[in-house]
Amino acid sequence: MQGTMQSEEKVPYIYLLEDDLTLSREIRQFAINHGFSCDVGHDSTDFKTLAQDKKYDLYILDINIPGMNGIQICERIRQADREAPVLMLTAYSDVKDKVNAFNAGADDYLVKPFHFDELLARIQALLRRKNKPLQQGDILRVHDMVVNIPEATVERSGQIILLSPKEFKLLTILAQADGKVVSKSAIAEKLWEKSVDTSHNTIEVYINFLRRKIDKGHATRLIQTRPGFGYFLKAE
Amino acid sequence: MKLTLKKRAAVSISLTYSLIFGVTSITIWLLFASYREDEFKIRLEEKALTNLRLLVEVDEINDQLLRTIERSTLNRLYKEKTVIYNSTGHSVYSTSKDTGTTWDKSRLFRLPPGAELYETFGEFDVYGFHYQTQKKNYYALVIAEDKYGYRKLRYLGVLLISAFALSTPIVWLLTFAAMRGLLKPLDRFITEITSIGDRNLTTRLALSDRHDEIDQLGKAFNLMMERIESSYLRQQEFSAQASHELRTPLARIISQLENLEAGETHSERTREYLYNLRNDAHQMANLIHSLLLLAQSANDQHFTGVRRLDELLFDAFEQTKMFAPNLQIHFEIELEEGTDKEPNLDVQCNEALLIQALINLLRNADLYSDDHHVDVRLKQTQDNLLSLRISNNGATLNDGEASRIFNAFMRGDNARRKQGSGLGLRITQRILQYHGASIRYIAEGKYLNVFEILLPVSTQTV
Repeated sequence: MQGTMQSEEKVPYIYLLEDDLTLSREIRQFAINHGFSCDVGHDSTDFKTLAQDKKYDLYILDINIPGMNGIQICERIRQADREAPVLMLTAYSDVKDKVNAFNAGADDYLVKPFHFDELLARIQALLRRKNKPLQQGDILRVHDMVVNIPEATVERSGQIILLSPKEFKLLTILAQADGKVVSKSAIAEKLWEKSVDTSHNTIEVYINFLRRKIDKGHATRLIQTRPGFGYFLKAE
Repeated sequence: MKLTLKKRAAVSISLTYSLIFGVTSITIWLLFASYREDEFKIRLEEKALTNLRLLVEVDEINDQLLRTIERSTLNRLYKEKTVIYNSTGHSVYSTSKDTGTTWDKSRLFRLPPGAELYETFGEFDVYGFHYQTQKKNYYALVIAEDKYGYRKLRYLGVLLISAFALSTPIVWLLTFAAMRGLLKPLDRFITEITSIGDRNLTTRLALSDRHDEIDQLGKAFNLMMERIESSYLRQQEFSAQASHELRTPLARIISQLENLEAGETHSERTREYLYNLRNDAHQMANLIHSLLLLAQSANDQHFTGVRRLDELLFDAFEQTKMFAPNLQIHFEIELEEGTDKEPNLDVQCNEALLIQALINLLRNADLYSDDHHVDVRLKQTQDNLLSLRISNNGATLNDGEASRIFNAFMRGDNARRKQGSGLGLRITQRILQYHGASIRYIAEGKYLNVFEILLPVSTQTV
């Protein structure tokens, strides 16, 4: 166990449970280098005696540790703190491990070995999600459709609609435009990062995918086309 | 011609039956022919003796009277001619002036006293006899046609041939039907065994309670499958353990290298070394990951469900960017010509495996491209397949190399000074085969490498 709790400070506090001494040292070093505080435990006894009663901003748990495994530790953390993000680490990439981890309440899962950049991106994303209070614009409403951006869910007339990540992002782009027309080029830019480019035809295909899920079976159509300009959301 | 066991058994049994039936029929026919001959000879003999005795020993009967008696008798034979000769060879009695035959009589006169001859001459049977009394020698000759005997013989022949011709195909059909019924469980075994692949090693043959040889074969097969499955599971367990044991030290190496790289006091050369070392370690980790996924793919439960291929592609792209930071893709979803119907991009898959296959292809395309630009096109074909074309500009393979591109450890001429294990495409092909998909390499001209994948569209939806 290293370090102490300083919850009053703004520096996010991470608890790392990893039995490999070298790896835990390197992760801790990396975390500190990136402005985090980090306590380290090597087995379930370390966790129970020194960390169980403390509250951390984020937990990074290796699944395969001596004593109680990481999944059991995660369940214990969830009983005490429903909010704290938990990132599981494992050398196994078995689907069962992932499912067990998510069932135990884990928020994310990373298979060893990993790029530190990826670890950092996931830590930051989890902390952002935890720290960010619901803001105006996080929940968008268009007629009878509700788009919850932090939760990545969409409902229409009280019915949950399952969208693929790209479809959800496309709907968010249209919903955030607040009824204004969004051109195909603007959609392409926002929908994909810089390293992907595509044609307007493919954007049309995605709009059609979205129409099938959002408008099909509803008397009022929400996704509108302005030929030659682009798309917008409006009840018609 | 290859004969099945059923046909072979049916043909063998039918041939054996035909042979036995044929030999038996011929024997019956020959015996009956011999019986007819004996019977007719007796009749000819009786005729000759009766006529001779009446003519020679009864004084009151001369040849005129004998002819009259003969004409009125009831047991005359068909086309019968009876001739009695004296010792000098002159005819002393004849039922007809014309014997109707050219039979050589000299043989009759060479018979010693008391001797007889019997033979067939054309349609006639001929009986001759040398009769000796105290005073004189006589020769009796009876020629007749055994019309009724031969008719019976012919009728018997027709009967036997008909029975043979009729019964042989019936026996063939019955044997085939019986063999089919008997070997039906074997056919079922063949169907069930053919469907066993590395994804359903838990399959066992359904056994009956007949306890016959086929059932024994099924039991033996099930026992073998249990051993194979258990060996496969041990291998999987070993792969998982080995993967863990290999990944942890790799994670240690990578984490130390990354922290070391983050230091600011290194020379350019040291930084380059550290970067290369880290990349190699990641490549090794990827290889281990692929091998482990393949080892795990033997189990059906890893088939996680239905996913959208475009989303898997973007996931794969995100992961590929870690190793190929300069990678740029041009992505298109194409519609089938003449239709504006949106394509169905759902595939039934093991998500981790398929993503790994896509990562391998994207990394490959990036590695062998001149400009890090990769073109990705997705289309649903008319025969309900998803066509995914991944292409890049770069030196293409020659025909010889292209035919071996999916072989393990194959490195083409264009792989000079490129990092790679030579296993990526082999693993990719294996993963795609596992998903019932196909992959082929097309060299379009000298500078366009294309990989075309055809995946079955899922009938279920996400």
